[in-house]
Amino acid sequence: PPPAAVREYLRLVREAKVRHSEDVAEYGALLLKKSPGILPAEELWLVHEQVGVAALDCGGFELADWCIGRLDKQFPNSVRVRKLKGMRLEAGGEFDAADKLYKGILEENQADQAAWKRRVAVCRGRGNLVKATKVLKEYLDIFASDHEAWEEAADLYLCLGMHKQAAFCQEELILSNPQNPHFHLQYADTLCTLGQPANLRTALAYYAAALELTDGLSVRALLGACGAYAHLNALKGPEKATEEEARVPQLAAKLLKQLYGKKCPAKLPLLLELLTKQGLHDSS
Amino acid sequence: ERKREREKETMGEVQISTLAYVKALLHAYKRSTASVTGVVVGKLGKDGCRMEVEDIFPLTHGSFLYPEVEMALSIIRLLCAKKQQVVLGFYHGNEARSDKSIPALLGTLGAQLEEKCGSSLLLVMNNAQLAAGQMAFDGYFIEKGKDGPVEKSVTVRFASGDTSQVLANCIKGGAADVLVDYSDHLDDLTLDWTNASFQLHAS
Repeated sequence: PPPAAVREYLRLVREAKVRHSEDVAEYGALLLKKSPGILPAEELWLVHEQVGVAALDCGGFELADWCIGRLDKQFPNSVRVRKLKGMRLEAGGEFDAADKLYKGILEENQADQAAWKRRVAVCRGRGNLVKATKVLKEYLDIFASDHEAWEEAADLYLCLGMHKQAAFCQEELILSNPQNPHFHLQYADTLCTLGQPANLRTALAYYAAALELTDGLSVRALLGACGAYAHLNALKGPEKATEEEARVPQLAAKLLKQLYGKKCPAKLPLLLELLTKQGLHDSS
Repeated sequence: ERKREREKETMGEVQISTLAYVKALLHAYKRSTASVTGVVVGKLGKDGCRMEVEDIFPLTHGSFLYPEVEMALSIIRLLCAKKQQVVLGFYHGNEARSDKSIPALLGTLGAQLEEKCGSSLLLVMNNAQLAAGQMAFDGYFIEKGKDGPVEKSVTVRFASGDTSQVLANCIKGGAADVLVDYSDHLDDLTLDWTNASFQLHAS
């Protein structure tokens, strides 16, 4: 593909922060080796870093070493390049050496956020998720407004099955990003996983919030609302779902039927069977 | 280790079809930077073979929560009923290469399934075995115990001798690109998570 197209692709990947490592490594390498001239100075070195990291992600050590070597020559004594060398060690499984390198950076500057995050990554890479949460907690005590870190913490706790702790992190994310439906949705899903009528009721409220923020288009929120309601409706006595609580799920069921009818009509019969079981569709 | 080996002798064995095995591993291959989870379906076996895994439904990649799984399971049960199949259990591959443990939520789901249906299978990816060209899954039957789910090791065998070769062909042929999981479907309803048109590459 033409170098200009590759340059634009790499820029879009950086902006969207997606993980297309194989493509970035393959095409980025071509660009750097065959047509580096089309990149202005600052972008040239940014692309070296991007391709280097991508290469590490798919085991392309030769390419990674080439990128890191050239960055090292251009920016001797750079902390950012040191961090890359740490990632190279991580990719090779040399976690002790990598951790030592990051601790060294932190000794010089305790506020180096990237080094903190790499330390968490080392723990995760080793499979020691519990230690990862501990290091991340230390980081969050200093940098409490870093929502990327709160997201990582939530993810770690979910992997560990520590849903209460994950919920706490998700609450922080909702507080700091109230317009982001994804956080409302994940929180609702976590509450449903915890179970118990009180959590299910709160979950319904957050599914409703997610639906408001997505104009009713989030399939996960629509299905979630129906599912939470079905559980509440199956209870007996005072905890059973009220008519008022049925309003959002009933609307959700209606919207789901419309969406399925439009986008995957072949699956509509299955959806209708499911909604009937949940008490949200009248099959007569 | 020895306890597991002794357990295996008494547990009978589980067979897995080429279709099920290849689809599950393609799911893991496609989402190699995350954990993967899916549902295994098939028939209860007879004589020494306790279960025959015939097919799988890929569910999610990355950490999963109850609502997603519950919804998908309900729909899968409806689909299985039409094919005289039953839900047998789950497969799972952990995020870290050397991790072959059973995540807590999966153990709980497995125990719930066992309570409902009488038996529950967990297939957990073992990358060391996969790298050695052997069966990529450690098999466990899950039962609800007094203090939580109890897992018992069971031997998993290929139903057919050419499964590994078919998997290699499928990977080379780019079959992983067209494989869709339930999570993908929730993000884009037009994607078919039942993978009804999936084809194995035989040669």
